[in-house]
Amino acid sequence: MPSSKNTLPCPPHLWPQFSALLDAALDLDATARADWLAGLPAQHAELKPWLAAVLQAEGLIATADYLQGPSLPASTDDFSPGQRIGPWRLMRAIGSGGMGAVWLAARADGAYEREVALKLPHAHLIAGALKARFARERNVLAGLEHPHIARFYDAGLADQGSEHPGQPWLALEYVEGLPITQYCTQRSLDVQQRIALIQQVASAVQAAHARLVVHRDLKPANVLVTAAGEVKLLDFGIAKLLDDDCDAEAALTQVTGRAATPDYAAPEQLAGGAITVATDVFALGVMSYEMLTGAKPFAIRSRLGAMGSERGEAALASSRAARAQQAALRGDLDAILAKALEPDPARRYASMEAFASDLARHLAHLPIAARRITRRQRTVKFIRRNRAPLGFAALLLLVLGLGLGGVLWQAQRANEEARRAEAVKGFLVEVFKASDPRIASDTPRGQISARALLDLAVPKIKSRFADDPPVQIELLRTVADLYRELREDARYAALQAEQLALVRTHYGPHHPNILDDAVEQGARACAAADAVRCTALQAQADALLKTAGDTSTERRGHWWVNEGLRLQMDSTELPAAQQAFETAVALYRQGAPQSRGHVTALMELAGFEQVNQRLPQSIVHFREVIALAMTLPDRNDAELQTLWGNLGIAHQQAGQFAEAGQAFSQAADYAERTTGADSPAAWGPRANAARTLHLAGEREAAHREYARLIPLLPPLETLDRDLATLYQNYGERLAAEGRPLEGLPMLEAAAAFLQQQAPFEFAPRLARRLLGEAYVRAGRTTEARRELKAALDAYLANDAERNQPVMAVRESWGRFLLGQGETAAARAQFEAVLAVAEGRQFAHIALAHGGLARVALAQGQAAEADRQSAAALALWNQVTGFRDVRMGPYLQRIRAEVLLASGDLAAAQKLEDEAAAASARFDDAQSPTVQRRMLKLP
Amino acid sequence: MSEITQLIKAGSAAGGVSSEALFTAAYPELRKLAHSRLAQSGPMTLIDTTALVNESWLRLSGKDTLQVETRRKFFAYAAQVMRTVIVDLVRERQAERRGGGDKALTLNTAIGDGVAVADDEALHVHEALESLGAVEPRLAQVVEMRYFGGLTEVEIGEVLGLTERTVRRDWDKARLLLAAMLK
Repeated sequence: MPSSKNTLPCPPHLWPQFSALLDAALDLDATARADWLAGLPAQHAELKPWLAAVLQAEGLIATADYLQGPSLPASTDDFSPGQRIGPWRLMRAIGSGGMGAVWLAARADGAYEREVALKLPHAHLIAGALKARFARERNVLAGLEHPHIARFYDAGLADQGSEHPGQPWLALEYVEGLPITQYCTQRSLDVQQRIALIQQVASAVQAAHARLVVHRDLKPANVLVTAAGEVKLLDFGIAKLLDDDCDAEAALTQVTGRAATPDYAAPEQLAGGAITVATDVFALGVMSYEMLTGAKPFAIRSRLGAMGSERGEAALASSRAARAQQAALRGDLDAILAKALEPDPARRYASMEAFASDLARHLAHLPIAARRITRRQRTVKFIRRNRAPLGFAALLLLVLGLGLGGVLWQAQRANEEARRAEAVKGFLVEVFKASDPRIASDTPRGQISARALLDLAVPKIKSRFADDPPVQIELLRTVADLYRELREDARYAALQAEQLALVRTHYGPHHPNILDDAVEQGARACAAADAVRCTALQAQADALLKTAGDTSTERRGHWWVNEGLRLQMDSTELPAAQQAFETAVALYRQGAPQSRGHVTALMELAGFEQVNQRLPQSIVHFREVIALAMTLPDRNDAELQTLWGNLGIAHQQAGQFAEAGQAFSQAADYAERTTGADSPAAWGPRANAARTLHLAGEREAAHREYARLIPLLPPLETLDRDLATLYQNYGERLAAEGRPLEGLPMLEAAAAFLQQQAPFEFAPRLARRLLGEAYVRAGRTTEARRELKAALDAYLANDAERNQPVMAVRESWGRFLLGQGETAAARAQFEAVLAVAEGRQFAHIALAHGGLARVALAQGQAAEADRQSAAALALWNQVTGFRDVRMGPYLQRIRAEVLLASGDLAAAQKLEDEAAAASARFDDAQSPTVQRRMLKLP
Repeated sequence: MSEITQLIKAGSAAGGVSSEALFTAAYPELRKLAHSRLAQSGPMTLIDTTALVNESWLRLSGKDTLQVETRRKFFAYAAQVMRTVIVDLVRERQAERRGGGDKALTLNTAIGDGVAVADDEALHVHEALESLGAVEPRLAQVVEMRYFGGLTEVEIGEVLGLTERTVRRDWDKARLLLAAMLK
């Protein structure tokens, strides 16, 4: 009978190396092994996952009792119906296992009628000193009375002189039911019904926690659901008393075996760390995840062999669920499960109650605690989500309870503010209560859109508070902000103007609201790249801040950010722009380090450095801003997504694919968490992650990502800027791996679109280059010549000769000309690339050397061909910055041709074979590059 | 002189022990011993292989005082025999339970599922050793002697001509590999 137990933990051909490395690991102290593994030299990369998987079990060998000796399954004839065990008469066996048997039993003396499940652990497991422990545990369990916990009736030892002297027994409530996961599937429960079951489990576990008992082994098999739909929690067999002393703990562990079922065990449990209520939260999190998605959150990763407790974060629940369930899980439930499954217990829900409460809030459509969202964002999120009519009561509750929380809090500061807050609150209550005749009569009773309410509020603010400017200002600013968040720019501008006019008459020209607005207006003009207005408004704001004698570092920092945006529009002012951003960052760092403005300033600085190819600095600043943004109290996940995405691009540009891939997947996770997997915000990071994998040669992984992404995209006929870039990159990758015919329609559509509407200044010419290269691969030379030439001309007109993109297009054009037999023209292009190489180690410089080697071969200049082809390969091995692994085999084949021409067939064939093997990994099976050629001497 | 001792002596004289003959002789004896032991043990099912092997040695070798060399060889073989005996017993017991009409469980049977010893662990170790023996013959032998034969680290060291420390390292490494295979 074939069995997986026969499979060695490492393929036999790698065994000798694997075994030697394992010896080395075992010579180390157990605590040093994770570092040792992480620091394994690259030549052992292939062995790493196998080693990790094996070392994962090292906890087992630390204890002497693993594989202590063989045991036999309990024989069924150990017990038989009618026998007495203590006060019980056995009726029928309902189960048995390595630890003992379970029988249905009744009281022999008829003291009560109820049948019980009688657990009969093997006597040797509860021997000696452990008997005391057994008795103590009995008392704990007996105290756990809860409708959703299977009752523990009693426990004891059979009398000496009876049939099974000294046999321990535990009498438990007999539950007929199905494991919770099976119940869900069998009854086809919907998401809400499943959540209701999870809540029952949570309440039972909470009850145990209240008695300082942690279950430690929550899993579907321990949570049964009866035919009546009642959850029953079983088996506190390995439960732990939170106040236990060490000895008792050790004893209990011995009785019950080491760990709980690993699938449901929390990281701290696997690592032997402190067990707390958070351990149960984690297990219920895993179970909930399984119930809601049908998949276990960690199965795949742990099998890949992450070390011990480092399972990392679970994939978003919605991304693992069947299509039909995804919408229901996206957002709140994703966030709730992610919080329950936090690897760090301190970041998990602090109690079962908190977990259950978030589930209840989700069911009631209330904001949940799992995402740290500020009050305002919460309100805005709510309103935005509810442009459609919504429950009136829910809206009222939200705006009053949360939207005004800040105002109410401030009220404690001063009577004047308290008065104002009361007035504001009273007004809003009134607005939301009013039944207004202007609301269309077909609106269902009790339902009205949030937007309609805001519209109704504005005229009332003006009429009602005409004689109370402070309240009017407060309300107008609040409502204006809400419009801005709803992206109703015209309404925002109008209300903001009214508000400022009021402020000016009431408080004079130097009120903070007016100063803020001056800087904000500059920001808008500069961000829109409107140079003339930006310059004018910046000067105005500067003058205003000076006359007002303003000392706010935050406001001045904001002004300097705008100044940087203004200066970077002029290519001669780039050093000044850099200084402006640095000044802004310095001001924030000194005066307002924990502010949103600090994030913006750092982000602009990092972005500036990225665009200007200062990649190492850019990466440092992106990492700094990400760290900062994560600690801000009003963490903005959309912003973090952008930051991770930009960091990924910077790493990709620097050729650091592993780091780029990590950053992109962080971005994708944030996007999915905030907006869901099939929302446009998640497409970009997913596409970037896929492209990075593909560039790095991880073709299969890349296509797995693409397979998830591409079906979600709108068709080519409905392009927008983001979509065009995305299709362009996908088409380019398809062409690069030898499928130009599939890539071309995307590249053509994207190029046509990007000539009209470009997200970046360089996008139109880049599109033409990529399209041209795909035409070359498809053998469509006329179109290829047209596009590549146009791209080259556009680059030369707009970019500096020494910049990498210009070198790239020149090399492409040269390669095309060479293919057309125009050797002299090709050579000129390659030489132009080398002329500006300046000792840099870019991929396109290596390619230009390769091009010159081909030129020399064609012209019969053996020495030159040898020199150039060797230089190409040497440089390729040290390339920094952007590259596509597919360039490697191309250069190897050039070198092979050169060697062949010099008569060294063996060396040539060896290189050719290496190239073909590499291409077979990187390229499509249909690509001509994957064919291994048998070389012949000329 | 007992049958076993004769076999070993004859084997030594012929330049090597006929393991097959030794095996044939030792097997029924060990099996009988194991059975009677288990019948006495009631609900306790952990097999004390050390005691079994020692006892069988005493019985099989009779009253002869044998050379240390012979004793070592016997232990190596006894471990092999015990492995077969135990695997057969486990299979028998499982068949018996299946025949007994075990139903789907309505109550979780575990008084701890993550328990030290699983029912079929011995079978799995047996299967895993077959693969492991192909790439790490010495490790497989150490496991066989220690797990199935109940030999101590010192005894295994004597039999295989290794230091106690090496045996312990082999044992740890083998357990690590088996843990991965048995997962």
